[in-house]
Amino acid sequence: MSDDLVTRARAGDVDAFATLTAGLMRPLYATAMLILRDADQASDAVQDALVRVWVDLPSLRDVEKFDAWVRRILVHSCYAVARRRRRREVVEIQVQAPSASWSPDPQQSVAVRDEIERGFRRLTPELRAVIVLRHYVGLSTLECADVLGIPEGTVKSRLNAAKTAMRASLAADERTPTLAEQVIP
Amino acid sequence: MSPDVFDRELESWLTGQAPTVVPDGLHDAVVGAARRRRQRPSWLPLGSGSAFGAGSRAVGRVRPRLAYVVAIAALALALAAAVAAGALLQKPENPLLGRNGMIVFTGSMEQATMFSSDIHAAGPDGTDERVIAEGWCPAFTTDGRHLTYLGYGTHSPALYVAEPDGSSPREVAGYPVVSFGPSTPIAMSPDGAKIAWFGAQIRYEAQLTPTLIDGSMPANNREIWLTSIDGREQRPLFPAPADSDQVYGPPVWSPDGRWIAAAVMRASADEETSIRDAIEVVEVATGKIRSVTTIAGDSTEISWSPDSHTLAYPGRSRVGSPGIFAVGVDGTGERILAGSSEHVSMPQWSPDGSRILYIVEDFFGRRVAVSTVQADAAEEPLAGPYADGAIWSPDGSTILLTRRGNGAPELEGFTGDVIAFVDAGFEDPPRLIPMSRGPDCLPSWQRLAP
Repeated sequence: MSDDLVTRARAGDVDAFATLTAGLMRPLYATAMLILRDADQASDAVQDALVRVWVDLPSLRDVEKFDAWVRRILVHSCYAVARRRRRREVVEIQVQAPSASWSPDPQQSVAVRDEIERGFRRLTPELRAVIVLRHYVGLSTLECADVLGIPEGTVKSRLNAAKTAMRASLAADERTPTLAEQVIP
Repeated sequence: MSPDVFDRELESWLTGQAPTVVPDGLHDAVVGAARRRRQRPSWLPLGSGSAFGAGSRAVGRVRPRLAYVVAIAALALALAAAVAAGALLQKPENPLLGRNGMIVFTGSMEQATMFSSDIHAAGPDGTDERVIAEGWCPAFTTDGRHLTYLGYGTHSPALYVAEPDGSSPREVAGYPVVSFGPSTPIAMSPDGAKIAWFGAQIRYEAQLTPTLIDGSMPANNREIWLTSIDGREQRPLFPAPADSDQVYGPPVWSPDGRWIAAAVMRASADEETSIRDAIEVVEVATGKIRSVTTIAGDSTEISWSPDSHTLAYPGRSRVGSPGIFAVGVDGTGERILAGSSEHVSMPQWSPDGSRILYIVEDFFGRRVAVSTVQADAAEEPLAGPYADGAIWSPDGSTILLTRRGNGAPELEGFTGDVIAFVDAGFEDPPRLIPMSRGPDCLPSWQRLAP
C-alpha cells in the first residue's frame, strides 16, 4: 500500500483509487469469502466496502491507518451482507451424516479439516471474522481489536469461544463410534 | 489434539480455502462505481467549546454558490414574467417554500435535566445565537408567524404560543399527556389557531383541557382531539379505535390545514415493537375519516407533501423490503419513493416537493439520505452525513441535522453532540454548532414569505 496513492485517492483521484484497489482486491475478497462462505455475497461485500471507502476517504485523517480502516469497513460490510441474508432467506441447515470413517491414519489431517470446515460453518459471522483476521490475515489480537472496533479482551474471548466451539465439534466426532463399533458388540 | 496443533490445522485449512483469484469484473465494478459517486467532504468545525452562553462562537456565513445565485436570478426572472402575465394571482402559494428565517432548538447545560432546558434561537446562518425562553421542543407554525413550545406552566407542563422571537408567550393549554418524551404529541395547525392532541388518562386543571375529559378515563393515545386556542372549538377528531390494542401515533397537519393524519399502531406479538395497522386521515372541517395505506410498517412517522395531496411514510413492501412510500390523501396512487436494503425512518418532503429526506440505518449508524421524488421510479439516494435527525431549510438549499455522540467515521475528532448545517447536495463540509448535550427534539426553521 502506498501512502502516496492513498493521499491522491483521498483528494479525489479516481485513477489512484483504481490502482490502490487493484492491489487490495485479492486479500479483501479472500477475507470476505472466508467470513461469508459464499462467492456472490463476498463480491457484494467487497464492492460495498470499497465504494464506501471511496466515498468516505476524505474523512480518513491518518493515511497510515488505511489498511486497518479498509479491513474494518470490509468486516462491517460482511456483517451487513450476512444480516441481509438472514432477513431474506430461510436458514438452510445442511445435515450431514457423521463421519464413520475417521481413524488415526495418514488421512487424519484430511478428516480434521473436514471437521474444521463443519465447525467453522456453524460459527456466526462475528466469530468467523475474528478467526479469519487472527489466523488467516495474521493480525495480532491488538490489531484485530483495532479492525473490529472492539476491546482486545473481547477479541480474545471471541477467539476462545470460536475455537472452543470448533474443537468441541471435533472432539464430539472423535467420540463417535465407528459403524463397526456400533454393530459389533 | 493440542491447541498448537489445532491452530496449525486451522491456519492450513484457512489458507487452502481462501480463493486465489478475484471474480472477473469486480474491480471494474468498484472503479466504475467510484467514478459515478462523489466523495463526501470531511466535517469542518467552525466553533469550539459550548455553543451556549458567553463561550459560544458564531457559525461562519453561508458561502454563496454560483449555481445558487444563478437559480435565484432565474427564479426572479420567472417570477417577473409570471407577474406580467397575471399568472401569479391564480397560482396558490406553496405553504412550505419560502425564505429562511430563524432557527430554534432545545439547549441544555451539561448535567442539566429537562426542567432546566432553554430554547435557543439563531439566525439562518447559525449566527447571533441566544436564549429566548425556558422550555423545550420549540417549533414554528407552518406560516412562520408563531413559535410554539412546551414550558413550565402554572400547574403542570404547558403548551405556549409566542411571537417568533419568543416574546409575548401565552400559556394556551396544560400539557395533556403523561409522556415528556421528545416526540411531542401536540400539533399546531399551520396558522397556529388550533391544536390537535391526544386524549389523556389524567385530568389536568389547566386552561382548556378539563372539560374535554368526561371522567371515563380513556387510555393514553386512544383518542385525538381538536382545540382552538381561543377556546371556542373543542371536539374529538379520531375516536378510540374499536380494537382495544390499538393506539394513535402523533397527529400531523397537512400544510394547507385541511387534513390531519395519524398512524394507528398496536404492539407486536413480542410487545417490544409496534406495528402500524393503518394511516388514517381526517378532514378537519367535516370530521370524515378514511384509511389510506395498505403498506405495513413499524413507525408513526408521516410527512405531507407541500401541496397537501400526498403522504410519505416508512414501510415495508409485500416482500419485506424497507423503503419510503407515498400515497394520495384519497388512498390512491400508493407507490415507493425510495427503496433501501436497510431500515429507513423520518421521511420529510422538501419544501418544493421535488425531494424526500430520510434517515437510513447502515452498519455504522444512522445517516441522512435524499432521494429525488419521481412519479414511477426510485433512484439511488444521495447519501449524507451520519445524523440522528434532520430538517429542511424553508428554501430547500440546506439541511439542518442533529447528531449525538461519536462512532461515525466523519466525526473523528468531533465526538460531542452537534447541530450542523449541510448543503442539500452534501457537497460542502458541514458546519457545526457543538453542543454540551444533544437536543431532545428536532430543531425548527422559520419560514418567511417568499
